[in-house]
This record gives sequence, C-alpha cells and structure tokens, in this order.
Amino acid sequence: MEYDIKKIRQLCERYFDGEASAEEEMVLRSYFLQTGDVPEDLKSVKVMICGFREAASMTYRPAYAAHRQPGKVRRLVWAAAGVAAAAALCIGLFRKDVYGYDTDGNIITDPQVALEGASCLTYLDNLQTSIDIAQMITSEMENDN
Amino acid sequence: MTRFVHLCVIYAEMGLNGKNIFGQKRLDFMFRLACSILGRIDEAEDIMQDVAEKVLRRHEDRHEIANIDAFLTRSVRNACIDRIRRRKDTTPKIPDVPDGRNPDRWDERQIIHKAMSMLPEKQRLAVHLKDIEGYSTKEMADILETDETNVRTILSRGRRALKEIIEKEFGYGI
Repeated sequence: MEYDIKKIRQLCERYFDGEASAEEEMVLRSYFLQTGDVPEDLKSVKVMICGFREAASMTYRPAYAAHRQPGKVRRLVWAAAGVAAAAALCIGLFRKDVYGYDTDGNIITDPQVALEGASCLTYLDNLQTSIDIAQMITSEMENDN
Repeated sequence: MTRFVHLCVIYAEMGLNGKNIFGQKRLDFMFRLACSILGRIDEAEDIMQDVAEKVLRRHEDRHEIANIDAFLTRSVRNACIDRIRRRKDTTPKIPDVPDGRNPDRWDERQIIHKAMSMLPEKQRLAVHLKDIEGYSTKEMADILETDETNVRTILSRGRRALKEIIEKEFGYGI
C-alpha cells in the first residue's frame, strides 16, 4: 500500500497534539508497522508505534506460589514409617528366633503371630502420627488467629 | 489462615480461576500497566500479587467496587509508586537488557518501557492507557477522574516527551 509521506507527517502532528481520531491513529499504525524503512525524522515515531504494539501483546501468567511448604507432614509420616521399617529389619536380622513379645512379656516364636501384632502396632503408630499432625495444625491455626 | 496459605489461594484464584474473578483481560491490563510504570517484568509480577490480594480482600468483605477499571488502575499505580519509593537506586531498571545506550541491542518494547519509566507519572499513565491499552479519551477521563480536554493535554505532552527521550537517549531520528 502506498502512503503519502506528507499526509503521514500531518497525521503525526495531530497524533502528538492528542487530536488524531481513532481512524487517523489506525492509518499511522498501519504505515509504521508495514513500512520497514521510514524517513530519518520519523524513525523515533516508528519505534514508539512498534514498541506500543509489542507492549500491548504482553499477557500475564502467574508464577508458581513461592511460599509453599512442601511435605512437612508427609516427611513426618515417611520418617516414622522408615524408623519402624528399620527397626523391624534389625530385629529380623539379629534375633532370628525371637519375633517379638506378647502383652505378658512372653517371647513370640511364630512369625505369623508376630506379624499380626506388628501390623496392629503399625496402625496404632499411624494413628498417633495422625493425632500429632492434627494437633500441630490446630496449634498453628490458633497461633495465626 | 496463614499468609502462605492465603497467598496460595490467591495464586490458585489468579492462575486457575483468575478468569472468573478478574477476567484474563483485566489481569493482562494490570500486568501491562505495572510493566509500563516499573519498567521491570519481575517487579510487575510482584505487584500483581499485592493488588490481587487487595482486590480479593474487598471481594471477600463484599465491598462494592463502582468502577473496577478505575479501581484497578489506581491500585496498580499506587502499588507501583510505593515500590519505586522502596527501590534502591543501584538496581538496574531492566536487568534482562544489556547495559549501555546502543539501540541495536534493545528491542522496541524494551525501549518503550525504558523511555516510559522516565516520564512523569501522569503522562506515563495517559500514554499507557491510550497507546498500549487502547482506551478512548472519554474512557480515560472516567478512569483518571478528569475531563477529556485535560486527558488530551497530558497525552500530548507525554507523547512528545517520549519521542524526545527516544531520540536523545537511544539515538533514533537524530
């Protein structure tokens, strides 16, 4: 498309006076965005128009929340499970014929019986962990209020 | 509710549900305005958190916002002004751009943001609303709570000042 440079300069004057209409500004934008090589005195205007278009195309994408505390509770649970597993492994390695003790203090030599007891203890351990976690959260909420 | 959980909620609201509360168009508007005023994308993102929290708090308190665009403009502008006051002078304005005045190393957006950061606050805001956001002078008058004649005067001064900065600071058109 051919543009009348004299007309473009007149539109620029109106633009910088703040008097250009929406249609006139559209003509200016069209000229500067489509014309690669403009007269020397209009180069700064071209930078403005192109820069405005680039700035207008920016969109917002929020960054990930930086304040998240990852897995504090989860770390506690896994730590407890890890300790329980390590303890069970140690007992298994070093006391092969003793699998535990019943409530009367008698030695358990049947691994199946010991396993059932250990499962019960694990459930109780998990329950205690859950109680501890709930108390921690409640305490934290009360402190914040 | 702890602040970090509250911020997580805000992030969730803005990231996932922001379109439902602010609308993506308004989020983009707030972000671009902050970029124009601060000249820095990273600081503009910080401003988004502050303003979003403020708006969400008003929303939760059920305070009516008569003119949301005007409110957002004022909120972002005030937050940016506070930020500029706290900013240390030694911090580079646009850290992702090589230092120096060689215009060949800057793209137009960086030049515009840099140049706009040098304008007086009213002129910068007027140029941003008109030339970047595309508001009419009537809409700008409502947002800026002034009349159209004043808007055109401020806009004229801002555009001419911007042209002069680009010519003198970046060597275009001299």
